[in-house]
Amino acid sequence: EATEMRCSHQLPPAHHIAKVIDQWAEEIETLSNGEIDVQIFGANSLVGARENIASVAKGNIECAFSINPQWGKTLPIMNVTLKPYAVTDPETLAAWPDSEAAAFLDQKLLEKGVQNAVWLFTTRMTALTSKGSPLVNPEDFEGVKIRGLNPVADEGLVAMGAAPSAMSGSKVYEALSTGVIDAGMTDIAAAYSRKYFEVQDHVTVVPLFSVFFHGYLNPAWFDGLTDAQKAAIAEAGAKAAEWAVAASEEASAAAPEQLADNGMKVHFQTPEEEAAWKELMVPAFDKSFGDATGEDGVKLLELVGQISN
Amino acid sequence: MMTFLILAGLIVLLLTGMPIFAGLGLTSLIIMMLTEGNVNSAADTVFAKLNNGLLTAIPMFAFMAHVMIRAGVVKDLYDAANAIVGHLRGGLGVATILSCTIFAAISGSSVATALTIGSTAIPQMKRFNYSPSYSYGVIAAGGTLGILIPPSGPLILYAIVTEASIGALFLAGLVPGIMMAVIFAIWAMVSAGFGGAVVSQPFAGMGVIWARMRQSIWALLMPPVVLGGIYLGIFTATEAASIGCLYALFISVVVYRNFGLHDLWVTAFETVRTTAMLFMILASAALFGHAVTIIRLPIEIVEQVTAIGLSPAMFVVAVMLLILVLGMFLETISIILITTPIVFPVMLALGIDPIWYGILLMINLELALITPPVGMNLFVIKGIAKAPLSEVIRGALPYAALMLLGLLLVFAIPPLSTWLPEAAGFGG
Amino acid sequence: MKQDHEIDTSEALPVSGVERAVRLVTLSGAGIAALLVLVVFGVVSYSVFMRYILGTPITFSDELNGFIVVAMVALGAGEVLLRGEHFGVDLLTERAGPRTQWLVEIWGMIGVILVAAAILYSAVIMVQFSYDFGIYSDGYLSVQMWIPQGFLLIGMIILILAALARIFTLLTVRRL
Ligand code: NA
Ligand code: NA
Repeated sequence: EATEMRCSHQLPPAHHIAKVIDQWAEEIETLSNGEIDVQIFGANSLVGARENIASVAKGNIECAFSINPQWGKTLPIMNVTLKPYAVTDPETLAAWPDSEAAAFLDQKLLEKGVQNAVWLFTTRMTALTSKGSPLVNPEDFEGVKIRGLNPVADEGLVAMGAAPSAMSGSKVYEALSTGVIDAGMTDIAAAYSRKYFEVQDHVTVVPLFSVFFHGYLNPAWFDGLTDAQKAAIAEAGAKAAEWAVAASEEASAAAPEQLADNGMKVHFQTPEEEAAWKELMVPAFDKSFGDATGEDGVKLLELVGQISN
Repeated sequence: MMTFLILAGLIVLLLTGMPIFAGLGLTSLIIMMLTEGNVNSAADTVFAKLNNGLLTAIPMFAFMAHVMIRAGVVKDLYDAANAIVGHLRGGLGVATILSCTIFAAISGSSVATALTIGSTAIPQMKRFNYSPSYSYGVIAAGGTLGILIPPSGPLILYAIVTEASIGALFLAGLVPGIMMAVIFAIWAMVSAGFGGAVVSQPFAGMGVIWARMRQSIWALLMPPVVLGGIYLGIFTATEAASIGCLYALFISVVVYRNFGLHDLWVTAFETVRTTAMLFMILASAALFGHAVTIIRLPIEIVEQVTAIGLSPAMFVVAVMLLILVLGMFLETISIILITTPIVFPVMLALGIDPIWYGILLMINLELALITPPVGMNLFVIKGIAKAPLSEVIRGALPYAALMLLGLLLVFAIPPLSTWLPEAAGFGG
Repeated sequence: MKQDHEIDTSEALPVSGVERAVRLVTLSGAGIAALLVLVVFGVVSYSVFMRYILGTPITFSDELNGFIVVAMVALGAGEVLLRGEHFGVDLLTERAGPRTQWLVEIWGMIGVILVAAAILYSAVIMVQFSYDFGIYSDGYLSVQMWIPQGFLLIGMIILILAALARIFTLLTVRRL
C-alpha cells in the first residue's frame, strides 16, 4: 500500500511554480514506483500559508511549500537570499541546490524541526512599480510607501528612505488601488499576472534579490521511509530545482514587454544606479540580518559569498 | 454520493436543534476522526480562519449600525421617506421600501434592516389600515436588501472565503440592489389595491418634505460618506466602517445629543454578541471546509462535473437550485460557509466570475431569508408584530417570486452586476 | 427615542446558582471583548489618520486586528451561549412538548461541549507547540504566536464552563 504524502502550498493552480510542484509530485510517484502517493493541495485549500510550517513540523500534514521570507523571525536566517544583489544571477541560482550554503540551511531547518526536500527559485528580477514618477535613484524613495517583505529584509528599503509595509502578494493590487501603499515591489512576472499596470505606470526592473519556494517534510515521517524512497525524493528534488529556474526564467522573460504593451514605462537598472542602491541597501541589510541571526548569519553570508558573483 | 451523505448527515444533525456552529463542528470532527484518526488540526484551522484583520470590517459595520439605531436616527429616516412617497398608492409600503433601501446602505445585515425599519413601519401601516399580510410582506422583502446593497456582512464573508475583492463585490451589489428595490416598490404599489383598503395620505407638501429631509440629512449623508470612500478607492472596507462609526458617533453625540459613555458600552457589547455568534459559525464552517478538503470532496466534484461535461452556466444553475433548497432550512451565513468551500474550486476550474456568482448567491440568500420554514426575516416580523407565522408567510410569498425574477435577470444579464466594478477599475 | 436593549436583560427562565456564578466569568469575557471592539475602532481610526493626514502608515494594524478577532470571538462565545443566541434550526423542535424541548437543550449543550472540547484539546497542542518551536507572527509585530493562540484556548474553557453550567441548571432547576 502506498504511503500518503499530503502536500500544501499557497499558489494558484496556473502559477508556473505550482506546475513545477505538480511535476515534482509525479516524479516522486514514478521514482518511488508508486510507493509514495503525493497529494497536492494548492491555493491554501488544506492549510493556509501562515500555518504550513507548524502543520508540517507537528505532523498534521506530511509536506508543504513556503517562500523563504515566510520564516520571518521564526528562522530569520532563511532571509539570506533577500540580501540585495547577492543571489540573483543564473549561475549562482544553478549552483545553489548543491552548495554548502544550501546544506547549511538544510541543517538549520532540520534543527528547527522540518526536513528540507527541494529548492524552487521563483524570483530574481524584481519589479519596483510606482505611479507618476519612476523609482530610479535612491532619493526617489524618500517617504514612498512601498510593499515590503518582512522586518528583517525591509531594512534595505528603509535605508533608501522608503516606508515599507509587508503584505501578501494577493493584497498588493488592492493596496495600490486604495493608496494604502504608493509603490509595489514584486517579481517581474507577478507584476504582469497581477495586473499592476492597471494601477501603476512606471516600473524599474532590478536584479535586487531572489525568493524561493522550498518544500519541506515532517522529519518523523521522512525517517520512516525506506532508503529507496528517500533517494526518490532527493532525485525528484534535484530535477525540480532545475525545472523551477527554467520556468521562472521563462515566466519573467516576456513580462517587461507585456508591461510596456499595457502602458507602463519600463526602466532597466543601469550599473551606476545599481552601485548607488548597493551602497545604501547592502550595509543596512547586513546589519539587520546580522542582528537577527548572529554567528550563524555571518557563517552563512560567507558560504553564500563562495557561489555569489 | 459522498457529498449527499455528508450534507444529509449535517442537515439531520442541525434539525435536532443544536446550535448551528456545534452541528457544523461535530460533522467536521466526525469526518476528521474517520479519516485522520485525530482532531489535532482543529484549533489550527479555527485560529487560521479567525486570525484575519479583514474580518474586523463586520464588527465595525455592526457597531456603526447599532450606534445609529440607538441614537434614533432611523425614525427620522422613515419620516422623511414617508413625506416624500407617502401620498402614492400604497404610499406607506413604498416609504418602507425606500427606508429599507437607505438603511441597507448603512447596515450590513438583513435581520437588522427588517428589525429596525419594521419596528417603526409596522405600527404606522397598522394605523393607516393596511392589511397585516401586506405590511409584513413589504418589510420581509425590504429587509432582505440589507445583504445585497452594500455594506454587507455576508458579502464580506464570501469575499474572505474566495479572496475576491470586497470593494468589487460591494459595487457589484449596488445595481442589482437598487433594481430589486424598484421591483419591490412597484409591487407594493400594485398590490396595495388587492385585499386591504387602498389608503392614500394627502401629499405632505414641499415644506414638510424639506423639513423632514433636513431632519434626516445626517442619516442620508451616511451612505455616501461610508461607501463613497470605498467606491473612490480611498478606503478599504474596514477603514470605511471605522469612518462610518466615527461619523455615527459624531451624529449621536453632537447632533442628536443622546449618546453617552453608557450607550457606547452597550453598543460595543451588542457588537460582541453579534460578532461572536456569527464568527463561531465562521470558525466551524472553516472546520467543515478543512474536513471536506481532507477527503478531497471539492476535487472529486470538479472531476465529476468535468466528466459529465456540465457547462459553467448549467453548473451555476445546479448550484442555485441546491442553495434554493438549502435556503428553506438554513440561514444565510451557514449556507455561504457550507457551500462556498466546495463550490469555489469548481468555479475557478470552470472559469466562472466570482463577482457575478457572489451577487447571484446574495439574491438567492435574500430569498432564503423569506422562504418558509426557516426564514430569519419571517421570524423577525413574527417577533415584532406578534403575528401568526402563516400570515407573515402569505405576505412574503409574492416577493419571493419577485426575487426569483431578480435572480433570473442577474443570471441572464451579467453586466447588471459586473459592469460597475469593472468601470470603477477593479480588475485584479 | 432610544431603542434600549440592556446588557443585563432579566432571564425569562430561572437559573441555578452555578450558572449565575459562571455568568460572572462569561460576562467578564464578553466585557473584555467589548473593550476590544473599541480598540479595533481606535486602531483603525488611528491608522486612517496616520495614513491620510500625516502620510506615514502604521504597519501593524491588520496583524493586530487579526489577533483581536480571535480574542473577541473566543471571549464572547460563552456569554452568547448563556443568552441562548447561538441559534439553531428549531423547525422540528419548535412545536415539541416541554420534555422534548428540555432534551433538545441538553443535547445542544452536549454538542457544544464536544466541539469546544475538541478545539480546546487541539489548542493545547497548538499553543504548546508554538511555544516550544518558537513561532513568531510574520508581520512587523513579530509576536510569539502562542500568545494570540492562547485566547482560543481560554475562550473554549469559558464556553465549556458555560455549557456545563447550563446543563446543571437544566438538571437541577428546570428539571422535568
Ligand atoms: Na447593506
Ligand atoms: Na428560508
